[in-house]
Parts: sequence; C-alpha cells; structure tokens
Amino acid sequence: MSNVALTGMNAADSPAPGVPVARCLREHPDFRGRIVGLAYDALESGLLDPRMVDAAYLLPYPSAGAGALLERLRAIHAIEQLDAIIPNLDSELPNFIAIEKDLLEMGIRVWLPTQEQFSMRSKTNLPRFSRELGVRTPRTWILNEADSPILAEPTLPMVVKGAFYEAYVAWTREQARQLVQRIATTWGYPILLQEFIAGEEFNVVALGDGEGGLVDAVCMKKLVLTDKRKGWACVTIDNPKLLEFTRRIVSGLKWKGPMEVEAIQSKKDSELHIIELNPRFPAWVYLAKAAGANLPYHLLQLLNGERPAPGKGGRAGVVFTNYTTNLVTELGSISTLFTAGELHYEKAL
Amino acid sequence: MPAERKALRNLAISDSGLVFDPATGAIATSNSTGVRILRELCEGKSAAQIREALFGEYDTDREVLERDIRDFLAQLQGQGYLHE
Repeated sequence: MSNVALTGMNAADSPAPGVPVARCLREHPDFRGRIVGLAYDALESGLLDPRMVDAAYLLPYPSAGAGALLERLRAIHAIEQLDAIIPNLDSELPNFIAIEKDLLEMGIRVWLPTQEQFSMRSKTNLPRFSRELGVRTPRTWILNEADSPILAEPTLPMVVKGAFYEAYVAWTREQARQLVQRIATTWGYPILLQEFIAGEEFNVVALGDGEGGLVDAVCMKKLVLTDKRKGWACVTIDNPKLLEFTRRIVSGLKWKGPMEVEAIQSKKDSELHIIELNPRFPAWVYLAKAAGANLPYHLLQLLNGERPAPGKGGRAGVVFTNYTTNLVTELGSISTLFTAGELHYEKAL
Repeated sequence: MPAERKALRNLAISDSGLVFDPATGAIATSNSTGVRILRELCEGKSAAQIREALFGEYDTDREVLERDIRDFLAQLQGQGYLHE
C-alpha cells in the first residue's frame, strides 16, 4: 500500500483526525508510502506541513454530491495513482460510501461501513439501534423546527446536539431554545435533545473488520477539556467492561471501519450508556498508537488483505496533551492551493 | 460505582504520591502517609491494623492522627474503593 490519501486535515483548536492518522502511518516502521492530504479548504493547516503530507489537493464540498467527489478523485488519481483513501470526517462519509465501487474499479480501496450500517449508528437512529442491541442510550427527542412543543418534554438539564457536530448542556428551557437556534443556524435540522446523564465519560477508538470482529480498541478518559468539551489532555485506561461494551456494538453492527464510541457510566446505576458512535477515527487516535495499537496502520493491513495480530487494547496510563505551536510556510504554497487546488511538496521544496 | 468494581489493588501508586486508577483514568495525589496507607490496604491489611501501626510510629496528638486517618479512609469510601 504505497499511496494513501487522507481527509480531515485541519489541525485547529478542535482538530480533525487527518494529521494524527498521518502521524500514525508515518511512524509505523513498515510504512513506506506517500501520504496525500485531501481537504475542502486551502487553509486546512495539515496540508501546509510537508512532514505529514507529500502532496495536497482540494475537494469539492460534500454538499456538491458523490458525483462531484468522484470526478475530482479521478483527476487526483491520474496524478497520484492512489491505492487507498481513509476518509476522516462524518459529513463526507455518505459520498465516499456511495462511490466505493467506482473507487475499487479505479484500484482505490476504502474500508467503510455500508450506508445502512452508517445510518443505524447515526444520532437520530441510535436509540432504536441501542434497543435492538440491548445497550443503553440516553432518551432522545428529535427536533425539526425551532418552536416545537417537543422542547418542553425532556427534564432539565438536557443536552442539545446538532446532527453532525456540537453538543451543549442546557439548564433552562430558554437556554435550550437559544442553543437549538444557534446550532440550527450553523448545521440545520434535525437537532437532538437528550436526557442528561450524570456520570463519568469515556471514549473508545475501535476498528471493525466488517464481519463482527474487533481488530483492536483503546479506551481513554479525558483529563482536560476545551470549551467545546473536546479532550485537550487524555489518558489511556484499561476498562474491560467498556471494551466488552465496544465489542458488542462493533459485533452488533458488523462494523467495517474505524469507530469512536463515546460513552457515559451513570453515577446512579453504574450502567454504560452510548452517547455517540462516530464513524471514523477520532482526533486522539495518535494516543492509541502511543499505547501500542496503531489502528490506522491496521486499517491499511486490512485493505491489503492481511489479518492484523489480535489486539490487546493498548497500555493503560499513557497520556497526551495537545499543545499549540506555529507552522511556517510560504504564501506561495497557500496561493498554489487556492488557485491550482493542489500542492506538491517534492516540487515546492 | 459499587466498591467491588473499583478494585483498590489495581491502583498504580507512585513513590511521589501520584495515584492512577487504570480502569477509570482517575488521577489523584497523596502525601507519603496516604501512599503508605493505600499500599498497606492493597496488601490486605485492615484499616484498624494500619491505624494502630501509625499510632505507634507517629509522635503526634492521637486525636489529630485519628481524625486525619478517618478523613482519608472516608475519601476512599466516598470514591468506592473501600467498603463501609
């Protein structure tokens, strides 16, 4: 597997997973390939780091549809001869799933769930899927307009969530109404209202083999949160109950691909509840690699038809903290990306 | 979380006083006496045995020492690491 393209290259305060995935691949002793960064904006900062990507290309926004994505990827493939793509953003996945067969015909492999599997774990379908699987999830109401009477139904506090991004706790109904309007302005409807469960939050990064098996998974606890409740510092943990919970979800969905399980252990009854199932690697996936489970590399192994050795869940007690620094580049790099929609570091350097 | 699920013996306790629960990610710090109490609890000693040993070693007001030990054990109980 020599030429791998990655999306989600923005390394901002709420980073996307592309750069951590690139680091996992780059640092694997057996990885000899090129990494191509794919992005929707020339200022996605990971594109500007030649240590992470060998070349960078802009893609049409997901709203342009699967046809536009395929057409662009054909053009990129003609230059890069891609072997694999690892999409890393929720909102683009339906398009990638829709063109999977076309990509395969071009010789580009992806390790993705089916559209049905993708839909089953979506925030709107999660309560039904959880019931079928016999695992718990907070009670959820789906809101399709701002002044819906549904806003009066959940008890306070409640969690207000966008269908793809953003989640906030509302302590009053007025606050909930304002949050609904704010999220709708950015992401549109539906908006979800969720029962607030007091307890400890945990996250798991997992990789499903598509046949119900779990290639490996690493559990973590956030130590320091950003204002958007993203993990700024995190520690790996060894929690067999959480690992078994994840195994049950991956098996129940026959999940094919990376997944992040967000769970909360209720203070009241100690039961684990699914908060979200994200259909991609999380931005903290490099922590899993540091703990001994290089899941992005395992994904490449699966694409190569190899069976990675059974994972052990990573080592507990490994900590990372984000830290900000400055990346320096020439204006010419950004201008080339803006105007040509692509950048080649071998030529630029 | 019920006490039996938060196994005291699984805690990672460093000499510098950093205490890490590998199952939950909880991190706390303790002074050297707290570290000693935790380690002896992990070895299976009872709270009463540890209390008596400390009374014999520390040249301090017994009432103050008794209260400090009680507070420390109460914290462990509150976090589910010790049964009543």
